[in-house]
Amino acid sequence: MAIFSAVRLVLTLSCEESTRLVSTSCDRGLDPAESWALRLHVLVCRSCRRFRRQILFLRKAVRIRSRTVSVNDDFGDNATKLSAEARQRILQSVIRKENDE
Amino acid sequence: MEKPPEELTALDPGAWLHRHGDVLFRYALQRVRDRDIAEVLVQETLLSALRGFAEFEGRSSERTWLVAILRRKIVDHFRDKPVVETQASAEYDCFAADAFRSHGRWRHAPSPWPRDAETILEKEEFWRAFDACFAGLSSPLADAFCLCEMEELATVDVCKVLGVSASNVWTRLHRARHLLRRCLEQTWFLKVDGES
Repeated sequence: MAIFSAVRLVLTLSCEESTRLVSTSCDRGLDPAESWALRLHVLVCRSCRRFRRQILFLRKAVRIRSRTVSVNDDFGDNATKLSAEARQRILQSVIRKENDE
Repeated sequence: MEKPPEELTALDPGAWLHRHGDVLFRYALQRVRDRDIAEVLVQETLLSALRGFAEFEGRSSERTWLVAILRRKIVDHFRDKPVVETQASAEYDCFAADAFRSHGRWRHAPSPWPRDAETILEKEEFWRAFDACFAGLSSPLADAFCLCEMEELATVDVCKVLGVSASNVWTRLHRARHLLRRCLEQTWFLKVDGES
């Protein structure tokens, strides 16, 4: 029965479902039937092969960036910096709350 | 401007703000996507740092220490938000109806990206495009994506923070990936290709 449903998954997997399996592979890993279904699907489907490559690439890029952002000093424009007023507000608030203790 | 050496770390929130304020703010802003909230998170970080200064033993740099505090504040922020059970998102439904035909075949398949895509990692403009795409996501999708992919929390922890099931979190991530991929394709990869 398990084999039957596995074979059916391999044979009937749609592109939309295959994109879902790409996500699943990132989040919890695939069971053997899912893994074979995705592997065979991307073998014959160029669009889904491309989708998988792009998703895995973006995932890696986001993780690398997130881990290194705190060492980049002068990255970003003024829109992502604290204004002088914001700095003032933050500092006053910290001092006030600390004195409230 | 010359940066003061790290060993000058002292109980001085003004100096911390001066040295690390922009980095902390940007880190928070990328994740919570709201300037006011990001500002409050920086403020709470400095306050916590002030109160917990005794525990800072200089084993890490001052900035690493502050970022670690900020990361806890960000998770707390998501935990305090009201639980949103639904995974329904009009943005994704709209996208899927456009991207796929009936029976789940592509209508608008992914376009090829430049071969040298790897080089985007250092490109500030790319990450600006990414942040703009990320800012366009609805909160349920963006919050799950932030916790899982940027903060790299385990699914079980993300479930606790957001108050929803694992399958709910995975659905959100899947939708966020689809939407981010397409947004970047439209606002970055195809544009860059067209210009060159």
